[in-house]
Amino acid sequence: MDGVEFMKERNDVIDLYDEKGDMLAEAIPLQAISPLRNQAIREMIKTIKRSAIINLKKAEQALKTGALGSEMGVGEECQIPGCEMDLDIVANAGAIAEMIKKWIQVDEDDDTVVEIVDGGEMLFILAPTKRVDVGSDLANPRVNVGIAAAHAIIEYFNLSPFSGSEVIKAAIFGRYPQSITTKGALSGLIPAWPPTVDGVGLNFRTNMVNDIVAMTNKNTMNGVALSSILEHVAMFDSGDAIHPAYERYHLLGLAYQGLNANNVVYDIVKANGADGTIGSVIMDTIKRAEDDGVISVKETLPSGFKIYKTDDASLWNSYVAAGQLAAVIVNCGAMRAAQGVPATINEFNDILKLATGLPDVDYGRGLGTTIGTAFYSHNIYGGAGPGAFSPANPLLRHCRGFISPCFVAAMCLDAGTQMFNPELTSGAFLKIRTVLPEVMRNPIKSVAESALELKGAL
Amino acid sequence: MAVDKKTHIKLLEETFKVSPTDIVDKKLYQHGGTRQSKRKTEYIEYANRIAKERGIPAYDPDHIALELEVGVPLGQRYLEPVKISGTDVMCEYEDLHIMNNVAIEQMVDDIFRTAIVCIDLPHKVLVDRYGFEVTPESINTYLETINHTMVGGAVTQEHMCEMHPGPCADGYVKIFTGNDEVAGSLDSRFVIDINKEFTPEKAAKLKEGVGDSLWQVSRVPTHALRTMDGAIIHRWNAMGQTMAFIASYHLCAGEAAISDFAYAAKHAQYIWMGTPPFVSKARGHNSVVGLPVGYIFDIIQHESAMPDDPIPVSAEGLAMESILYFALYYGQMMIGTVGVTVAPATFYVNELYESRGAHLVDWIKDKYGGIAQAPMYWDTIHDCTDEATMAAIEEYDTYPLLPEHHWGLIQAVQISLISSACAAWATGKPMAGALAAHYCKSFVQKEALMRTGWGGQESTHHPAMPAMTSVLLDEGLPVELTGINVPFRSPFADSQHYTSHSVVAAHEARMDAWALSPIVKVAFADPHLPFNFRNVRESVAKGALREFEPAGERDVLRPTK
Amino acid sequence: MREFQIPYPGDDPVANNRKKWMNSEFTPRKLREISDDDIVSLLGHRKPGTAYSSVHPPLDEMKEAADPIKELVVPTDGAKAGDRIRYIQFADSMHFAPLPPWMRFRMYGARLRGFDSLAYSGRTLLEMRERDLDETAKFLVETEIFDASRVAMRSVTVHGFSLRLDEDGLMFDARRRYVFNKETGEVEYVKTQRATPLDRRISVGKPLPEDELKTLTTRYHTALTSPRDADELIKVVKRVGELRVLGGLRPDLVDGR
Repeated sequence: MDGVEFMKERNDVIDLYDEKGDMLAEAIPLQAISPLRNQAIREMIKTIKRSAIINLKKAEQALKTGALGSEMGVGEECQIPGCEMDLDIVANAGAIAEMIKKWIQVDEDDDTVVEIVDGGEMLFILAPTKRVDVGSDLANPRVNVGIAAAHAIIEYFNLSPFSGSEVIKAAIFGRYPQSITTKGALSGLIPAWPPTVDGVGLNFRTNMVNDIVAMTNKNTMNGVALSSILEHVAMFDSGDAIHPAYERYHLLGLAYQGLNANNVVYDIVKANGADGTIGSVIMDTIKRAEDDGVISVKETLPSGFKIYKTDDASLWNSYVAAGQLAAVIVNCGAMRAAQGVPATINEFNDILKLATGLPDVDYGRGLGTTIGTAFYSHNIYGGAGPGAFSPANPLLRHCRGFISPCFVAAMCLDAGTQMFNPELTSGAFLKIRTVLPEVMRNPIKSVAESALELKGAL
Repeated sequence: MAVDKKTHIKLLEETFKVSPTDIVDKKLYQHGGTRQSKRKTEYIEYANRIAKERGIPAYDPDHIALELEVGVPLGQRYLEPVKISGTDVMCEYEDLHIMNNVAIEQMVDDIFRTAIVCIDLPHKVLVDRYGFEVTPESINTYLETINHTMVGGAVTQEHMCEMHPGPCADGYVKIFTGNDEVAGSLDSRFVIDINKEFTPEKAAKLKEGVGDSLWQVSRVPTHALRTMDGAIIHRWNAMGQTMAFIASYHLCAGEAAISDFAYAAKHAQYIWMGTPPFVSKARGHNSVVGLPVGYIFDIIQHESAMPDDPIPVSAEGLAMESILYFALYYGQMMIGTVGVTVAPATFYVNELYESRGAHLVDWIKDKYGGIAQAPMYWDTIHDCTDEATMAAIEEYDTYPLLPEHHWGLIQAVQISLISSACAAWATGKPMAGALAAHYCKSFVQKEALMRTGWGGQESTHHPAMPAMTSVLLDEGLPVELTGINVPFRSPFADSQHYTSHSVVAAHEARMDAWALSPIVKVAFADPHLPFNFRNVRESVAKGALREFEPAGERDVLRPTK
Repeated sequence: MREFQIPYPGDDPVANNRKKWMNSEFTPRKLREISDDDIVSLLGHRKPGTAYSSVHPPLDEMKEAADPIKELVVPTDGAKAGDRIRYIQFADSMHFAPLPPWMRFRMYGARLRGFDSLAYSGRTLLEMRERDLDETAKFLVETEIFDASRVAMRSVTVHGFSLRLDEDGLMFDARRRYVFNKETGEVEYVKTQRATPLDRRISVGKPLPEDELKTLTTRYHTALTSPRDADELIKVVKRVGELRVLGGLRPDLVDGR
């Protein structure tokens, strides 16, 4: 039995709601939100895979001061005397962009996109599908665009091997290949740079939480949706979702936690927004699961304690994930501070399992992940705040898709308590937001619309 | 010293000099501060001299805490001495800090400077490509030559500057095989004799496991490892080996066939003690990060007391694991400076493990009819965890000296560790032991006490429960193959301990000759090693007494004072 | 607070105490009165009477992008004002402090709004917006959650929860933040939680008698309710443990169990 049949047999049908709790699409088959079928999600992934961003202002500034090849996270530690160049790159962004476009496009009318952002300070580029399709990895569009940009600047400003061509390259690529990172003017919609990725199946998990927050303009539910989509696509990418039971497990997680399916998240938040606590959110989650027939009492012990069972553990997991998100929104929303997101997830799962006799989110992977993240985001070992984490981080990656969306929610709700906020870490994403496709800026609506198109066909 | 179930409590009574059931310390705050400790006193005096000589302040706990009032005034509680288990040696915890104990340092060095390579392929090159004969005589000549090249002696070129042999006294090469006839035909100075180093039963299994191949074990000098890092070891060996082949078989250095030797030495049949880890671990080849935990059982050589008693070998393995994973990786490679407190040493002091083990071995025999007889079901894992946890909690509750001795995260780790041993001994299955440890920390211990360890301590235990037997990419593995590089293990370094211990305990319970590699097992059965892997705790004790002579010292190269 | 009782398995004194702390209706006994100024002093983040400092402007002065979810959740007073986030940390002795770290942590989750917390082996951190913290700290220090001899406010050098007690029955503190006044029988703080000297001594009252502490305990103990006798708890953890392992291989292996 394949995934479609598996889900049909279980009558997996969901209603999709927006961030105001209004219904967008009714009775959608679960498969309609699958990255294998949903056009909005597919367009999002294609955009990511084709993307490159050149920060022309950063390149210009680096060349002016000779501050090339720095490796620090914030600020520049390198400054090379004799490498300074005064080039009006930003002012000539248009011409440079034209040259890049000419080289990276395959056909005149293909799907190459070159957008000049912020008066020439940045270029947002989508390499053509025809080029990317014959590339071997995510670095393909980026390196092609990066080297094109280097050639364009060299040609435009008439430079030669004797007047600093290699310096231009460093302005674009940073210290690569002496360092395995690339911290110059070049980046992409996801940071995954192959030599630094810590294993397999992680590429779609490399965005910082802050990047997602920036792309969705701090809109909580859209930020959650984008994060959840990337996370569960990553599960398809790493073999996690290949078994039909697991495919369903991840689609349910995406639906209920990421896309507010059946309004579970919204309803629980609304009921608890004024005076609820994590404790009351837990009780509402259990009640909602029981009312919806997801769990039932298996046995009542002499003390009156009810041990619950479920005939659909994957659906129970998605309710837990939804309730967990609601707890984060309520607690971190009340505090308008993100730092408590790991604690909130810890509380929710730690209490829930002993309250029901059922497993917590992702069978314990969630709780362990956030116990670790809580510790390292509060102690001396180099963690930083929630916004600076990415789900590929050695601390976050262990949970298979159900934690990052909560971190995104918390950062969207943060009113300015964090040092490492989107403005500091993800400035590029804030700037290119305006030229991003709609599917990335408003994923909830886009995914629902695409799902509607599949209704009846699956 | 004969160990019974209460030996560790009696030892506490002796070292604290009070009744173990006392809940009040009448002398609290009056124990004498840092000066109650000989070692701290020694350090303060030494550091004062350093500070005076160089003009920059140094270590000075009393000044920092009492005069500047910014640090914690040490020694207001009793700083108890400890007895190293399996020995009569008393020492302070300072003597067991990895940076203060040269025996511990040598143990680590001896593991990661070991290069193991099969020389069948180079011999095949000689025979097939050159048409030469490989005989016992030619092998003996080769072995003499490689013992020269391995410590920086030149063989093929004039005007090479060579290394002083003094700091490289621990550099040498040996050989072994499972074929008695071949082993008997070689110069015995160079042979690790399986029949001599193991009991007849284990020797038979090992010879079968090793087979007829000829394995070379090079001990690259400690001096080299410390000057470079673990990544040099396979290269160093390859260089020494290739040069020795060239010289002893009169080959042309520079002809194409030489590259076959080099490839064979470095890559084709080379055994990594530590494989290269993921980027974020920031370590190279041959570090503890890449060590598969199964090798722990293979490296230790302690005499077994099975079929009755798995504890002696398990305790030796525990000492090694505590050092490698807790003291070295967690305490120094991840943290550094003061490290991770006294915690690692608590696993091999005061006969605690042995005492708890004695109770559990009796319990296992009673319940399951013998060691390694229990079925691999959840019921077994639960029952073993339950008994080990409850028995330990009873001790902590009954004897207030014990939680004082095991403050903070230590109790939590100790309880999980003994749960791991119990399930592993009962079933003979490492996975049972590993799951028991994780289940103990996540549930049994936690819900009983509402207390576990340091702030992130549960962070591996919760995901380990679903992950260990899963088939997802970053998760499932036989326990013997796992290690620090596995993503959900890596940031939470103390978790390695339970997993590696489940391997040691289970394989000892099964009376296996090895856990992961018969070749590694034989390679470390080498009496010439500076560190005595037959008696880990005894060697550590020598280091604590400052009676252990480490290798690689550079005295011949520095000014005489 | 909304009304709820979070379930927990068991009907022994320990299980019942745990359930009590997870009941929104439960009001712990007030054992002492500590003035607001004294609370501020003990916390050590600012001097009593001084204004709260801000980390961002008040919420109603900020221009944030429209987000329907933000309208659903009511911010705390401290969040509304833009207060800095501050902490209080408690160390709870193994020798019958009412709430060990994970119990304290869970109680926070049940009862508090707008907080961050972390349970260690002997201490539990709590962080909130400063004025919210001041209010919560009063609750945590004035009621039976806090015993003067077995619970301590300490943010630096937390060692002591598992040590034997001193001759006055107090938990060890390497920084000597509190002393026992033999005349009054009360415990007096001479330093803040941060171990900086206080201007004057602040009394936190008398320690509870040991017998009473034992009735309040939320941990299983060999001498009281042994964990071996917690049958329902053992049954539930055994079940959840097994389901985690099964579900780890494939989620549907948990169906129907």
